[in-house]
Amino acid sequence: MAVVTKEYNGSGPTASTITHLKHRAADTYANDATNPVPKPTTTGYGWWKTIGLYADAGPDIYSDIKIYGGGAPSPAWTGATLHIGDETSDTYDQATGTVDGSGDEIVANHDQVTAKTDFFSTYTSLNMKTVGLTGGVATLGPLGAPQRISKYVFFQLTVTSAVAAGSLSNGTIYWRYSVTS
Amino acid sequence: MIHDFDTHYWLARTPDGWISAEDHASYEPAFQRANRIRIEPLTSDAVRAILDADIPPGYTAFLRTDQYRQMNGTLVRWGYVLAVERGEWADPGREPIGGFEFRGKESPWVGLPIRDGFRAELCCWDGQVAFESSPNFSFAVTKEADCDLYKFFKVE
Repeated sequence: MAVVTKEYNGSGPTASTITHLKHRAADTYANDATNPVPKPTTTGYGWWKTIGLYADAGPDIYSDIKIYGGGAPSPAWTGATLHIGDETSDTYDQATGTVDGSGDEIVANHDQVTAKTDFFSTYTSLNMKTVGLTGGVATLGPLGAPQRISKYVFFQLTVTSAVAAGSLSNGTIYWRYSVTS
Repeated sequence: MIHDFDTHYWLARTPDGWISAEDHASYEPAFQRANRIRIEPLTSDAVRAILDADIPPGYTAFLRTDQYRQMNGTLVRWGYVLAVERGEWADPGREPIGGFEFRGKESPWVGLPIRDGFRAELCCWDGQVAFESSPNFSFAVTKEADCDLYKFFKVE
């Protein structure tokens, strides 16, 4: 049973399978060079990102979903930090901001997020963040249809005037979950 | 059920004979009648290890596959978890039992508390077997064909 990462965009929202979490100055998911996050005078933000773990229909039962990072990206980021919202939720809140400008800061503007944490420096294989299952249940499955199995997870890239122009090096994001089959 | 990514599969001996992941799920009632469980390699290139446990009367067995997957979908780690704990659960296949947390050389179990039982995980990314138990369970490693056989047992 395929398990993939979906990004959620728009008012619907629309779910799209992603392989990269591309931080942008727009509410879109494409992994390309359009809508780059501009270098700010002081502090700016990418538009916040909403992702979830998504599974095909099948007989498996899922539990214990967590998320963590592969450590600091290399080469190290200067003037950029990936934050994760402290809350996960089943409630979607569309990202807002200025297209090709700054996104709105997530804690101040997201309906579900009241605090944020530096993702790569905090959540590692030694300290994973518990995500939880859709609906807050303890286990989920067998699935009669493909569906999101995790709660929504919210990310936002914060950049300062110290950030270098151009693309940042890739960081790695992992899911960890259990399957009964 | 056996998935494309599986390198091992389970077999369970019930009063009616052996059943396996080929045609059963471990959350089915038949699995809960098992008195012996084995996790064996599916293919010749799988980690050469077998987990084998007798399930004493009054104990419940739980099987899980732990998966660590990159956002791009790549499965980077997977392991087969066998947990045995004294007591009865109405639907053990739906119990969120947790898992090992691999902290350097330590592998503490975080989840369903170990009061009278054990947890074992065949870590397919490095071939190691993590084990934690109450004092009345132990294990021994012997050879079965070309595999390391990890036999878990209750110390009487």
